[in-house]
Amino acid sequence: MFTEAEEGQRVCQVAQGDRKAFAELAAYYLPKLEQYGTRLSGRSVQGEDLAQETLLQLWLEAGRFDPSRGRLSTWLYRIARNRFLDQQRQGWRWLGLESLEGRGGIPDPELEQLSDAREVQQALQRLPERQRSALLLSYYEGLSQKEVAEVLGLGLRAVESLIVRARRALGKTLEEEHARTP
Amino acid sequence: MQEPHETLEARTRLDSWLDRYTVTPKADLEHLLLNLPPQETLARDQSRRRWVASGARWGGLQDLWRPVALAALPVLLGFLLSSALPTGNGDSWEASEQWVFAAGGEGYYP
Repeated sequence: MFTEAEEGQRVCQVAQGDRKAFAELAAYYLPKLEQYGTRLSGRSVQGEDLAQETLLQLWLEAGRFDPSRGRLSTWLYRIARNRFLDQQRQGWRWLGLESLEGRGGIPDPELEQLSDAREVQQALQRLPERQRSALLLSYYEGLSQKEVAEVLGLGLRAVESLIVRARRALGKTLEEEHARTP
Repeated sequence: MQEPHETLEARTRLDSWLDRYTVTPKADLEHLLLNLPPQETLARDQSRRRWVASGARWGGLQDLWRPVALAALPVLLGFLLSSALPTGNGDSWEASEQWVFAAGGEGYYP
């Protein structure tokens, strides 16, 4: 975890072609961006691609980062989300959700967790993209509502409302799912 | 954060479901670092894009001459006809006379 000043310093170094500074930022942000991308798209391949592409953009366009307009994390999540929306327009959506049970020989408790994970994955994908992003960024990525608002380009009130609606819809879907399959 | 209409029980249950959706990152940092393109690539691409865009704008302007010429054609024809053929309603009654003779008439002198 970097302080704002450390982040800003490293971004300046990256803009001047410093690979070591880039490696430090990438080591921290690559897994976070991949997790966000995977949950956002429902596919680990796409999540991996989004994370790599986002960091590549950091490498190439670090000079465009303006620390007065927000933290590096919000800038990177915004790039990742925009790339995801571009990919959706280009047809990635037709690939469908990824099966989480791709591994063989899974022990029973883990299988149960996988089943729950699959339900959450499917329920998340049924949410409108903005609700999904707002929930993922606040719950899994630990962003404040102000930071989520910066990523999504919305007001604070709108983000609050998106998160409330997302949680309500998700809770309802999962309750119904569990009621059907005891 | 405590949302309205979400009981503590529902909130805890939803959080426990969400916690079960774990994602294990697999992206290869080494691969990313080894395959970084030179940073000049972007500047080159952007200048090429600007050049292409300006070319497209010029090309677009060049394509405009056809519709403009088509739109101007009736006006041009009208102008040519009006200047070649006297209408008889103008100030020059002589022109009107010539027209009547040219049409094989007997002429008319006011």
